[in-house]
Amino acid sequence: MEDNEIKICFLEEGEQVIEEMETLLLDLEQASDKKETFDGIFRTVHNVKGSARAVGFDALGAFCHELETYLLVYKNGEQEVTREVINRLLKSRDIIAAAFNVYKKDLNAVFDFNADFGAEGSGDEEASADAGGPGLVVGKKATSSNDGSVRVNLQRVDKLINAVGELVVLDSVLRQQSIKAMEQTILKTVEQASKIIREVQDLSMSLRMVPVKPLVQKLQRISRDTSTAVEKSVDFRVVGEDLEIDKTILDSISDPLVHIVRNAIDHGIEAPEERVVQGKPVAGFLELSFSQEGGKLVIRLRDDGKGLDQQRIVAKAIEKELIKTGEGMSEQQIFDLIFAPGFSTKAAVTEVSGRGVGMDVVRTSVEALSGQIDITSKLHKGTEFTISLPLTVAIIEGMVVKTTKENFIIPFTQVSETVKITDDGLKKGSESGTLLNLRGRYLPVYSLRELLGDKKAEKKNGIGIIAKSSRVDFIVLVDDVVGQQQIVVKPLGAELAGYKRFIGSGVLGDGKPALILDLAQLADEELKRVKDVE
Amino acid sequence: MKDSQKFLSFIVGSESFAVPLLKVREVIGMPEVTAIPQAPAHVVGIINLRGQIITIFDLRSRLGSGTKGEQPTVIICEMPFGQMGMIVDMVSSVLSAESEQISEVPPGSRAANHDFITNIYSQEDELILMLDVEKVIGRDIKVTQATSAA
Repeated sequence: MEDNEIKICFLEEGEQVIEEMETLLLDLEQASDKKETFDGIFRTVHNVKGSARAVGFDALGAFCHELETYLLVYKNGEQEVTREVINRLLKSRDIIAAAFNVYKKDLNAVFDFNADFGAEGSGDEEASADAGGPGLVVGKKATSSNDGSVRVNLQRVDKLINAVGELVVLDSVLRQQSIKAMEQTILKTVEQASKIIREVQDLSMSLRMVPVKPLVQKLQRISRDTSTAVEKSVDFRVVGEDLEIDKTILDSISDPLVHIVRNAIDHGIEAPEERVVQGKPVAGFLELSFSQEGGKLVIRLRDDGKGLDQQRIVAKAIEKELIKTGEGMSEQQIFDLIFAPGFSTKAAVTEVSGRGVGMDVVRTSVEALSGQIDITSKLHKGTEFTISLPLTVAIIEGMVVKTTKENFIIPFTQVSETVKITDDGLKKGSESGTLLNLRGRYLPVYSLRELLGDKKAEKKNGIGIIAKSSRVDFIVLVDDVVGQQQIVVKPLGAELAGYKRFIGSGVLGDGKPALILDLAQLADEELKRVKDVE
Repeated sequence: MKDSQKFLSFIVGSESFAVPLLKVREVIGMPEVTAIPQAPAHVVGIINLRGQIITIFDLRSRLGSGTKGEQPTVIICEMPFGQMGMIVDMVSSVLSAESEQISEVPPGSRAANHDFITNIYSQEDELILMLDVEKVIGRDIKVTQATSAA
């Protein structure tokens, strides 16, 4: 049963990949940068291969492997890509698409990759016609299975969310007007209506959020199959599988995660004999965690394997002509090399991790989501990948605070507590800055007005927000806390993207937009400014 | 059928300007604006347009008129990186410009110094300066490639 779900999932996702493959193939004839297009095709084939094997469509996987081998000759530029080659590749794509359609009708169908092509005719067209745009399955909860769910186009969900947002704003206007009208019956009806409107808002926003569980299941399966294939024993753990994340993010992060999980098992974790020599448990430790930190979705993959060997990476990069010398490179710069296209630390091509097409895809996908991927690694101790992604359309619980004129939003995830602050409770010094003694501990106090560039000195009365940050603890002083509300995070336009201190914006109860602050970033900028002055 | 293009003309200060109609998404009255601390020059703030957050740019101060018209209007424009609003003093009309009515900016004129003025439209005594919206904001706002793709 579980396996079937993964298979259905794969077939749904694969549709897009096949479409992409076709577009790329068609582009190939005209493309000026043939290499890039070809690399793209190679990646799509590699993706299908990997996922097909993972979910148990072995015949499809084998077919893709053959196709990959065929492609490799052209990828390395050994032979020119002619029209006939493209025709052949398009035919192969059609075979894969046909296989998908057969599998869709019967998950356990046997598809003959040599003969079935050509036999499929009108049935294929019919099937591809109703494969619409990006959709999502709306289920009740993580536990609900396929029954009782509806596929809805994602764009329609977004339109709904926007329309409901407008409704909420109008509702608060209506409420104010009805209070003025002083008509009890109207007031009562308006009250009832707003309750329902709030409910509709909550519901509509939850539609975009999908559980990570199916992805986790897929990764568990991949972990199992990969470790079996490479004859390693792996203890794969997942933390935070109940988290719900944005559908768009989930879709885009799925393939990259498959790649890094597979890489960690194949390249990261040592063979059992070696682990024994190293004094490590025979089973390799691999932990994948999903969490929400400071307005970011953070995905971590940690292993206790052999870690990244800087010398080997440099040597390999020189051999691959990615760099001329490793001298003067920082640890981080060296680690970054593994994301370069065409880089693979394993000398031999392995069945599992393939030919080094993985890591550059991972970085491209993460960056396409305006996310970031970081590596920390210690030789013989292990490696940790940290992928942090913006929540984009996700909803946050925010605190609405007041300074000078405008209101700002501070995500609850950044706040640990709030305290009332009076001017005489503060210690001030020209060298120490402003400090507050909080239960015996001195914490620096920044006024939000100052942080936002208002240079005028003012009285330090107000509410102190104690910020939760991984770097330093500090207090941000605001004039007042106006309230708290759920906020749909809306990204700021590209024209304001340089302003890192604003995570995004949200619409307040009165319909006015407000900026969402990143307190840690603000404090960092302030500290930098102080340093620059000195 | 003659070769004609449609433009939206508007007034800033004492002069008439126009932008290609295809770049215009809609025209709205002056909404409530939330200011952005330490924003780039001439960026007034952000507005909520039916649930969408849009940055507003003051074309009046950018073009040096400094006027605060009685009924300022915001023209929501389609930019390559998304939508942006431009505050103008007043929107005049949609004009169909025949190609012979559009001429080059006279070299040596003040307008020729501004790269954001692409052409001049003239009809009888009326003179309208054609604006390249992206170039107008380009001096104050740098759009980074990476984020505009997202």
